[in-house]
Amino acid sequence: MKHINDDNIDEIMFQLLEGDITGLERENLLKAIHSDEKYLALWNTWQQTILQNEEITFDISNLKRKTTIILPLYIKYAAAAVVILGLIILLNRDSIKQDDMVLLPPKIKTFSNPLPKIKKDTIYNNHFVRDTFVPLKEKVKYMADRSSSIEKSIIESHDTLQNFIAQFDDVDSIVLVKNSPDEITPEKAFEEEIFVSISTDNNLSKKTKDNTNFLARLIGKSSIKIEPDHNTRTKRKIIFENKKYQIIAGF
Amino acid sequence: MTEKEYNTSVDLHAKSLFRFIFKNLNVREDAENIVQDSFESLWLNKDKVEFSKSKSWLFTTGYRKMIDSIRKNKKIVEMPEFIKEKGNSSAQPDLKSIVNSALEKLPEIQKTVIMLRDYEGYDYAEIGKITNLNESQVKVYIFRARQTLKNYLVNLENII
Repeated sequence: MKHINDDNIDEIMFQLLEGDITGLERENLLKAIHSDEKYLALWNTWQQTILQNEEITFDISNLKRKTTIILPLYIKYAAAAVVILGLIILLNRDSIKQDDMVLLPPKIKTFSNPLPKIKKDTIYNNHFVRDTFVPLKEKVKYMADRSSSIEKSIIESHDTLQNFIAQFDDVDSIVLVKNSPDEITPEKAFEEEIFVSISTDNNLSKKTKDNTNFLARLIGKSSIKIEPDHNTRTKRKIIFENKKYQIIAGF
Repeated sequence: MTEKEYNTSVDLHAKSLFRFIFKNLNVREDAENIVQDSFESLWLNKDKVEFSKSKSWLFTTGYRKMIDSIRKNKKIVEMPEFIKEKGNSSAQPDLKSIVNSALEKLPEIQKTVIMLRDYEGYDYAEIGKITNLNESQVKVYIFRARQTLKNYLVNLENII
């Protein structure tokens, strides 16, 4: 047990201050200090040697870090190319759907109202061979020779024919094909051996030819142009457009 | 240490590191540069330094840079800001100002260890790691520092 005196007072007070003396010994020493005015004043002074916390202004914002990813220049060009290609595809998506139809074997349509049956012996052999590659509406056209037109009254009196015609867009003409002109009369026009020719604006051979240059068609159908722009705050505008859409960006 | 942990270290330790350096050097610009360099160094070594040890790492690095700066500049001493502010005042200085002015009179190493002890709450071993001293040396320096402060305060009371 330590006893405080003038020789060891600094050492003991330092140890008390630093927490090096604890427990009962600490209590006894503090009692001894408080019982002596001189020691108490000295103890108070020792306690004042503990530095008091103080706030100092310091801007820490410039010490913070944020990782930045620097993209090589070619990635920026690649990203721009992807955006432009995306725009072109968006502007021509209807065309792309049509092209897909030509490139793939045509799906067989099922009609709610069945067409008049076609007898095999009434079809030219060369047409029959190509039949599997030709859409249904084209098939009908191939088989017809457009020898005569159907009268309007006959069409109106026959529901199956009306429904059949209604499935085609842009019908130019409707032609009655007779197996034998002498045997078939307009009154018997829709018996099994008669074929109907529907002329549309679809041209299979032309479409197949155009399809060989797919990208050229895509770009060709839309236009990209730059024009001066005096009506807004931008000096020029770039215009992407086709039949359906027009996208304008000022710069 | 991740980027997020590094930024947390900035939030937690930048101000205390600056206070430690600034109160040692008394030159704000130098203190700012040292703190900047210390955090720059931490960022470069963030893959090696664990987040839990970042404070100790920062104070060790900051202390060494501060010693280098003192040696390089041969310790250009300026009046501390708080003394400048009080300089023209006829009012009695408060206890904090008196202790601060007494702190300025301490040798460099004593000032360093007592600030690490009181401001940052480091124990003797941790202070020893930062200052490259053993625990006994740290304890002796802290004792001498407090004794000097105590004597300064006693003498001041006698004068007043």
